Amino acid sequence: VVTTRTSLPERFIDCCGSTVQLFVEGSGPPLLVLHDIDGGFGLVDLISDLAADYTVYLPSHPGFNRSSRPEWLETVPDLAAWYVWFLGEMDITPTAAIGFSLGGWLGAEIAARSRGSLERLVLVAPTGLKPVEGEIGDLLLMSPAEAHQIACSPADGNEAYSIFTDTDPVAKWLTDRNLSMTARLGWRPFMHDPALAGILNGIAIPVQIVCGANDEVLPPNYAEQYHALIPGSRLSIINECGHFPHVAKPKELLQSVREFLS
Amino acid sequence: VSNDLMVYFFTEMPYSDISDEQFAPFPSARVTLPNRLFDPSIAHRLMGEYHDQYVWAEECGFDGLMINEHHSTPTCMDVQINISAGILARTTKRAKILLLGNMLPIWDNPARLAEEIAMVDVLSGGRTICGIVRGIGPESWATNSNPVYNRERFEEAHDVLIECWTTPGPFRWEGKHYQYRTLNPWMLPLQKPHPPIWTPGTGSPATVEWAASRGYTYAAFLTPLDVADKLFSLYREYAEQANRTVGPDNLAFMVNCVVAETDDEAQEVGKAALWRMRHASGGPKEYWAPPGYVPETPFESIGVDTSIYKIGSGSLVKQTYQELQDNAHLVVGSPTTVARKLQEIVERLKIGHLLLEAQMGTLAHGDAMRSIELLGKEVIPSLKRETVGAPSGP
Repeated sequence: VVTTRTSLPERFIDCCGSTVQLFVEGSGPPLLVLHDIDGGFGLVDLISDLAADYTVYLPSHPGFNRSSRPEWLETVPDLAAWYVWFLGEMDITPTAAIGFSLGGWLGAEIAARSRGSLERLVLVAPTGLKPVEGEIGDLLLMSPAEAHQIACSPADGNEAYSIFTDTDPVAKWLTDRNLSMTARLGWRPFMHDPALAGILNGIAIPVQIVCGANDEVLPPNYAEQYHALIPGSRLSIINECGHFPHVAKPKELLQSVREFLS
Repeated sequence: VSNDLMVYFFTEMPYSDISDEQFAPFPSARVTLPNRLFDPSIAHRLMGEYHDQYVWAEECGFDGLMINEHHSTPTCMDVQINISAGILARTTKRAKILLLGNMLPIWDNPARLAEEIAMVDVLSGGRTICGIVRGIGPESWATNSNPVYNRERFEEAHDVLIECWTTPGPFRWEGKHYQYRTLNPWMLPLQKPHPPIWTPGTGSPATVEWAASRGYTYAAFLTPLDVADKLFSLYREYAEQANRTVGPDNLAFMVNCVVAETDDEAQEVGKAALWRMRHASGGPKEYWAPPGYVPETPFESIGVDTSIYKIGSGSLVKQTYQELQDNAHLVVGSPTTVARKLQEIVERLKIGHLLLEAQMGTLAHGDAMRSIELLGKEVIPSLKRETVGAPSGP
């Protein structure tokens, strides 16, 4: 989990009604990283690599990790509004962005609801859409062992993704807080915004969707559903890869992201 | 010596026709136990027996009849206590009807709940006691009620209930979780300003504080006696801070109880309680403590254990038959033995309300009826005669 594992420089800033925990690394044009329900586990290597070409911003979303939650912030669209404010305060609008799962959903909301906040967007295994077929996997109802099992493709060695099984007290505290905020944002309807399918069509920036071929959290053809709704979007499927490409296939993901952003 | 002690009969109305072997492949008796194991014709027989037992309990001398509610579990078939209360309102004449309780966070329309409780109070001639609960973690799954909002919705739904009963309508309510443009419930309670309000707990100090600061009766459910001691002394502290006096009427305690003619016979019959102890409280953490159900603690307090008692710790599951009795979760014996043990509990905890779960687990109807009769005709009179100190002051 970010705060206990990262070697990234961390700071706390008061911004947009929240005391937000922010990691900034590298130099160059801005790149916003939007983390998943795990608070950003396993993103350190990817961020370090991208920092060679970009100034990478990784805030802990308000309510996650050590960032405080403004009382009004209850939904992913609320969180998108917070980010529009945040990007303006940081003076990095428009910025490139990459979002992971919940963070992908969030990136799609920001792009759809605020034309001009983002200039390019990568969605890695995004949630947020009501599935046409199947359901989004309910990690919250699973035992830690089950959640751990489907978190990454077994072929890739899922030991790397341990947020559900870590017994370190600080890691447990962070996971409890992160899953609690996840429940606030995504309990009902589960991990999607009914309006999103209707507004994705308004996105007018280049978007790339990246998904693992063996993703067991997202239902079948889910990435294709996103792809069909966002005009001009690119779809890239990584083979032998589960819901966490940054953990299972970091090199392939990095290559794909670099290619798209440049 | 006082006769103010109130004794209640209670059953969760278990669907007890599930064997240990049938439970075994599944992680819990709650949330995900497949409902193909449910046979409505068996439920019909059992629920009829339970309702006969409530009527019998009143006839034999119990002061009150307690009912509760759960969802998606064979450990409790009562899925809407207001229906049960409506039945008891007409099948009984004298006993208090203790609803303990309606789980407020799962209600999307608490004004309708206010109407239903008022209707039961009217039907019963003012015999209802309105218990309200947050609902255990598994109810968040069974009803898809967001656990993050559990406490907020509990508190706001409570406020809506009280407003419905005390503010002349029509009026408006624009809250965070509930909004009404015009509230004007025609059906109002017979008891004024409203039925007594109770809330139970198993260890959360926040619940104790909430109840104590409002003067509501607090019921400790199946806690060890030393935990009940702590909870009740916390209650007294919080009540004092709110300038409220605490009497026995503010405190209630629940135990399981089985009586037969002799201790030996009771010990044999009482083993029926093990089904309840083994299955009602076990299961995975993610069922019992869904995300956000347990309030967030400050980062600075990591590693500091402030809890009085672990919710869903499963301790009841692991205790032997003897340990359950030693720890006062289960009182078993002849009328004389049970009267003595219950008297110790009442005097130690200084409670005014003793809640006896006297039908539980696989207890056969005949054994339950006999146990109820011995409790009502022998144990309760003895308790009221002998118990000293409890009802008249702290």
